[in-house]
Amino acid sequence: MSATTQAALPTARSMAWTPVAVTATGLVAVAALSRATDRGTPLALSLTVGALAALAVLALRDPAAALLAAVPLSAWRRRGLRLAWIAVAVLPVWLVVTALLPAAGLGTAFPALLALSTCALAVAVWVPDGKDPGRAAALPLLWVAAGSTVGSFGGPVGDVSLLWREHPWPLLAVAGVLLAAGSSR
Amino acid sequence: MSTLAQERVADTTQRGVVGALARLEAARLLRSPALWVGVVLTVAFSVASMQFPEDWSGARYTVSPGLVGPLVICASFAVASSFHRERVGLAADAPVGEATRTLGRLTGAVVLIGVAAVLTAVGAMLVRTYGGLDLGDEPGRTLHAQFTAPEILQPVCLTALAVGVGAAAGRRFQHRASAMLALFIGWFPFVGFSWAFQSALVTPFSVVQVQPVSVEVGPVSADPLTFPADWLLSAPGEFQDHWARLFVSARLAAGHDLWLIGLALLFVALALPRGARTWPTVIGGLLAVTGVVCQYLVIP
Amino acid sequence: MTETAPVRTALTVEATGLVKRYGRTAAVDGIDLAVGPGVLGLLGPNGAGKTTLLRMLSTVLAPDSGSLRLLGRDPGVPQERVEVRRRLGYLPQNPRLYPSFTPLELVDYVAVLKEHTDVAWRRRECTRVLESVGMGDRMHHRIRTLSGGMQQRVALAAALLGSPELLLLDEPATGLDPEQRLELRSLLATSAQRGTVVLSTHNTGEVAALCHRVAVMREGRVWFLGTPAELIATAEGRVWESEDPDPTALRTWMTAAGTYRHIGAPPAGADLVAATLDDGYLLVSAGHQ
Repeated sequence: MSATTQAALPTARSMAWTPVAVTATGLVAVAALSRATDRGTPLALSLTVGALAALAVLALRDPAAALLAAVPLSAWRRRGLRLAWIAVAVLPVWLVVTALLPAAGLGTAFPALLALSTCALAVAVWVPDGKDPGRAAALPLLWVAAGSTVGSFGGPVGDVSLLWREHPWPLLAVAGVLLAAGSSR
Repeated sequence: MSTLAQERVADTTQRGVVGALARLEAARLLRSPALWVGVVLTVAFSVASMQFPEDWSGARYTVSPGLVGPLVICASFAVASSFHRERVGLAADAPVGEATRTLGRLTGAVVLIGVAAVLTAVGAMLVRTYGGLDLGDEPGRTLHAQFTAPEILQPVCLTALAVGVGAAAGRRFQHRASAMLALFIGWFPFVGFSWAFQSALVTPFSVVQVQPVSVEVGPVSADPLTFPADWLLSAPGEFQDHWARLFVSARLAAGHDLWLIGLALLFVALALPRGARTWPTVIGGLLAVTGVVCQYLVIP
Repeated sequence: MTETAPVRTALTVEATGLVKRYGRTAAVDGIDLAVGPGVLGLLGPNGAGKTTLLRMLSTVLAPDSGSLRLLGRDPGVPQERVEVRRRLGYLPQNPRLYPSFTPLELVDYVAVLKEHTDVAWRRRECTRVLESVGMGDRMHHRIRTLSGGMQQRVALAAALLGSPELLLLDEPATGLDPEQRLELRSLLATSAQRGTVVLSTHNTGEVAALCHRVAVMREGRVWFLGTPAELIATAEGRVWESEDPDPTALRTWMTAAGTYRHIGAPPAGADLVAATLDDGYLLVSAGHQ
């Protein structure tokens, strides 16, 4: 078995799962509320996308990062393991939320989730040495909040605030390049 | 020195410590970028809401309570940061206990409630200067609706709740980022979905109460002139298939304010050390229950 | 684990003109350093650049300029960096651990990340390093239940995994009691017989007892590099004791006996005393040699 495979389980144990559980509960509750009132689907969907993208970034936080900084298994592989675990954890949340919400808008939601997550991860890997990469988790939250509040205003600000929803693929491409460029940091 | 005198000195010292901590925290909170982001967004949204044409009669009146959302969310972020510092074991050996330090932080956070009060007062004065807002459809309509005093107090109570929620999240979450995420997910739906609580059944449990509360009073075919002349009415349209009475009530808003204060105290109790939680929990619970009951009694 | 042919060199660390800047501040400002087998002690005041230098030597931080070779390899080349990492152990300053892990689980996890995939070997090695730092009897306790000193020892055990040829330790004695410090010295002396140990510390006693060579850093530069005896010699004939303070001295402080110790020119009525490593360090770190 390779070192990466052997590292998978202890990596999962080293991650903080309480925020994931709290977030998942909150998102399912919001989706259920939205379904019960038959209103607010776009808002619930935006919140889900932003929160799950934020969780992806928070998964990168490793309290023992300093101790593990000089091991031969690269930081990128270790991050990859963490991201794989968080993907496994949020997938059921995503499925439950999208099952609860009416179909409208779901088609563009997954690309939007990918785009926002990649953007936030790209910011996280470029966070200067010594700063907490978890701060990048604020990006998807602020972006969806901006989209929900000023998105309807139109104009350049409104367009930028909805970029993640309206043009996820180009955004994903740009963020992907930034992420790849920062992966060796 | 007698025991009584010693207790008096200790009491005075504790008060002094709370005051000193409160001043430090207040100054720190006033320098918090999160607070000012909230203030700027709230002001910007308020200005924008007055600039755009109303989609329906009463849109501005309905939207107004939610405008304070950014301030409330950002205030809770700022308070959470403040209370998260309590997790750092700084001066753990100091004679000032956690309860005193928490009291100092809470007292300092009152400055945020002050900021909300100032913004609210300015907003209320502007609405008054503007001559009031539109509300309702003919024949039950007014062009000069003013917010009642308890409605005006709602943003202040909401900020008090934000302080309580922020304190609890900051103190109880291990990581600051997790606390922020939980606060965001907690606040966002309540502010964004505030209109979802407009129906009479659930409005007492709303966080941002949007008045008027809509109460169905007749089918589409009903003659609106048969309804009492003092009722504000909402005509059937795209979003409703009936005539509804728009119920605006100072007593309902007062009950809601009570509910908010009760909730704030319950959250504050979560931020306190175990031994100091009893009274805030009891008083907060009583206020919250009283607030909900009062609202149910008022809603027709 | 991929093995490559070892590159034989007498020098473990070869640094030339090493620079690392944070904004306008040069944390490391043109350091030349050649380190062979044995223990090198890094002394210097806070902010002198010791931690930044150690992070560069541990390949965690890339220098802005200058050349660096570790164990005969260039850590700037990704493949060679991985090879260097397979052969070094690094203990950062105030390391944080996973509270829910036991020491054995944590050290085992680090061993996996160091690409040791043989489970039986790993179990033996983890037990060995934990016992070597005196944590053998607590290797199954949760880390959250351990004291700060014990947690430091667990982190040290992780750094010792696989008997690294280059061991980099940033203030390893933090939180250790005097007995544990003695054990640490013995442990590092053993490690130095196999390779190179670079030790950042504020404790001159540790340096005197353990280090073959000592580097004194200040403002991102190495101001002194030599043996501890040579560092003491820089202060010989310049350390005095008197009843009164001397404001004109380079350094002056009150001793436990109530007399004043001065470094610099002799004040009136002062007695010349034998210099210690502390005196040498204080003299060099004040910019006077």
